Amino acid sequence: MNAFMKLALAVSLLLAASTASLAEDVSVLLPNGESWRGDTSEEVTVRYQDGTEVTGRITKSADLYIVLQMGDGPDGEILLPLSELASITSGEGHSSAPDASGDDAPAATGEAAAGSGGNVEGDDDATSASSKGSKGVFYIPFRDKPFGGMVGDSIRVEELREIISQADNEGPGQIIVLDIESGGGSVIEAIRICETIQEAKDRHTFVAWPGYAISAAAYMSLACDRIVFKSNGRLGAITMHRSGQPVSDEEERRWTTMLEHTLEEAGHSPYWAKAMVKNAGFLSYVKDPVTGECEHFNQYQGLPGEVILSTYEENCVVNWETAVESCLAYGRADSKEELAEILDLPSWNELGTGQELYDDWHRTLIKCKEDIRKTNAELGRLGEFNRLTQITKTIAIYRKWLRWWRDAPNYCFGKIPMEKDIEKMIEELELERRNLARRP
Amino acid sequence: MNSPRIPHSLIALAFALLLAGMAWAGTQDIVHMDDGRVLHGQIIKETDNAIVFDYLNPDLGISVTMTLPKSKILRVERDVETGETSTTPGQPSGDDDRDEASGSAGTSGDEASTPSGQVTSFYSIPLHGDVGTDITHTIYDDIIDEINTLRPDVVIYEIDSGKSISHDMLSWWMGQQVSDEGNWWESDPTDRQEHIFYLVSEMEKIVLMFQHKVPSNVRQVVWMKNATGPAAILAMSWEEMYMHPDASFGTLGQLWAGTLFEDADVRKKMQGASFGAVKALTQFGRHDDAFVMGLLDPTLPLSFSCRGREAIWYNHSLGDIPVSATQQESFGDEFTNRRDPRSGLPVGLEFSARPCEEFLISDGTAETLQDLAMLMGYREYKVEETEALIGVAEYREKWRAMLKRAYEAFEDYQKYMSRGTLSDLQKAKTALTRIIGMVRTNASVAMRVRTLTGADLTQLEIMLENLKAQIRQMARGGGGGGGAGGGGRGGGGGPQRP
Repeated sequence: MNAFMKLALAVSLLLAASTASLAEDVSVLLPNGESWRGDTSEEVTVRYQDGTEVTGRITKSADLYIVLQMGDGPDGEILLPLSELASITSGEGHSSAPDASGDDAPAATGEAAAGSGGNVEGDDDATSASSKGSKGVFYIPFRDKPFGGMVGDSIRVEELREIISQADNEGPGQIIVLDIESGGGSVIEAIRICETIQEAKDRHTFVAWPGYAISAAAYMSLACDRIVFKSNGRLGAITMHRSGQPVSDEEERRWTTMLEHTLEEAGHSPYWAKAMVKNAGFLSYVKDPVTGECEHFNQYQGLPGEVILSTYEENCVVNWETAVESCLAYGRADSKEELAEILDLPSWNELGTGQELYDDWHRTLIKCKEDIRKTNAELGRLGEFNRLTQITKTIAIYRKWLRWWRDAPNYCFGKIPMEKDIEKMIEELELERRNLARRP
Repeated sequence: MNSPRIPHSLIALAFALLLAGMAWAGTQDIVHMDDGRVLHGQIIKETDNAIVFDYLNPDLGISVTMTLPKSKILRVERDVETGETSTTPGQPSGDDDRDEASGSAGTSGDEASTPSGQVTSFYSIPLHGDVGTDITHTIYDDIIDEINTLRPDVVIYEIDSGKSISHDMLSWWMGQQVSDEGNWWESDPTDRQEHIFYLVSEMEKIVLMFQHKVPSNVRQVVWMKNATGPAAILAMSWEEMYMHPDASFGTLGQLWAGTLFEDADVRKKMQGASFGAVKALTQFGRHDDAFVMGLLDPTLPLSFSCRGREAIWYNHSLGDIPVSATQQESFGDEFTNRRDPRSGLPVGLEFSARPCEEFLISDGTAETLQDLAMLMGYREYKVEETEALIGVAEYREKWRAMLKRAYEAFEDYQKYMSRGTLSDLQKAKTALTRIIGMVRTNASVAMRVRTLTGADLTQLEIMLENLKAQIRQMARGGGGGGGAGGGGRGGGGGPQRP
């Protein structure tokens, strides 16, 4: 594309005036992996890949383009596609660079994944991060296979909190990838996980990497800053139910409202919520062919190019192609290396112990599940022993259960008596044992 | 979305027509197509809509059977003496047709040869039997390694699934519909037993391991000899698909039957989740969403139209050809809305090879590997025969033999448990220990035992502990009661087991 064409394109892409009265932080990630960080008052020189340069102030940075204010007034605002750009240099002299904040700056990686939905907070945090950490990704599997678990036992908030804590140790601006493969589960656990993500989003960028993300797992994915699908991915079907029975209208209203807020907070249209919860929720969108941005609707508009995602008779579940097309997802990656590329990272550099946390928890969970089944069966076999032996063996089993309450409380809930009840049962058995022992 | 497809029967024909002229004995039929081609061969069957045409190449000894839509036929000459025509069969189709067809088929050139001029190599992977047991991702690791080492030109996924419905005398006695195939009264434990709902994860593993690990420049095709139930999902997970003339394809409605919740929102949620899982795989095959939905939901209308060579499917009945209609159960021998004889619920459409080709679901019909090679545009080929492939082929017999032994052990266990003497219980313990050993050793045996009995490894171990307790009690002079029961739930319609 020659300079004239670029100018023509820029002119054709005039945007409505949006002059900001106050300078705001802005960061740009270029296709070559370099990044630039500054604010909207800063004069910059933007160089195209063919060497052409334009000067102005960057007023907006989106996933696919930046908006450059070249002069005063709305007519001076042009849109520059990122795919055409090579570098950005500010008037003060600092340029976009592969590692804008120094040799080991995680800030650049944080920005890389932040994009339009990110919440990396300004230079101070980024500097702090760069001074402590190294460029990389904190990765944690949130998978309910192969053990048939679900959100609430296989997937729980404890591991998430731990990986966030590890990211915190590296400083703000880290990327945390949740590798999600789940058919859903506990609403309460999903809410706890989403709250934890939202609370940490002002420090780090969360990337959901779903294969199958159904129901509660979809909810968790939607809470993240960005979603990158696997090629076999699907996401949706967030209808709340109890063993196949519908919940009350009030519960459903609260659930939908919460989901809407989560979506908006992550930069998505709230209209996804009802479409994924109720058959009656309609969802369509139109996509701006130039900016790539989508506008979503909860009623049919009859607009040219309008794509219906969910009719009034279905529950919305999207695959990767639809998710990317409809601006819900940022891209597709089937391996960690591909994910790094999508996130504009130079390579996959895994930090923290997310995989280990997951493996440890699953080992514990498997043992717990098996042991609770076997010890329950063992209680049923105690009839072969005399009462004293029965009591001794029962106490041993109950003590084991107390240990499981400590190590795997999520799974124990509803499977064995509550901790306090077990303690009471042990006390009673010990009393009985003492009484038996006193008998001649 | 479905990309436009060119029936590969036409590709093969175009290729075949390039071959040298041949002497035809007796008479032949000549079909003049609307695109200018003249096809020589024998009409073997004719319906209102199509002609089934058999082309025999006497040089190669290869017969290619194809279905020609009447809408594309201008004229038919029947029983023409072979001496009456001196033209090479199909000569008018010429190079142009051949080139266009070959390009669409994704072959590298005229046919056959690899860029280096070597004979095309086929690597044919058997996916035979039941998904989850016979066909399990664990047996294909070596295959993937070998493909990456050998770099064959074509990988053929040869799918031949198990029977769709198992039959038993009790079902028949209770007045339920049963098939008239074979010995329907014999309950065969090796028949397909696993519910499709529990196989989605396994199918995903199989498809992803091949889709992600087979080099992208290796041509991958499915050749289905039978693909009903879960195997149909496997078949639809690749873009290029051929069928055996006797093949059946479809019967996916079991998944829908598992989502029949009373509440409409919950029902659609479950359908969205289940169907989404299937569509995540069939998108690899670029199959039309409406078509896949029509297979998944037996209550949805489905109709077909053709625009040029592009198949268009609708989830209503207003297309040119209604494929599914609630009033009709069967459409001759072409496609059928099947029902599960036990539940009476519809299990969805099942197609034979011919409509699959006519509706552009498949890329052609091939009875033999030679036919398939022709359809793909290869005249010469070699078939890789390796230890890894033999290992996969033998796995089915291996695990089924082990399952048979597990069954025998179950019978021993039940027999000795019912006798109930101390000596018998010891023997029952031995039998149960043998079963546990087999379940621990082989994942397919474990899955089938669980399907048939409801008992997983932990449950079997609990049963063993219960039995040991019973034996201890008897040995102490007790009555042996308590503890040794439980375990099974008789899942999957199979025989009740411990």
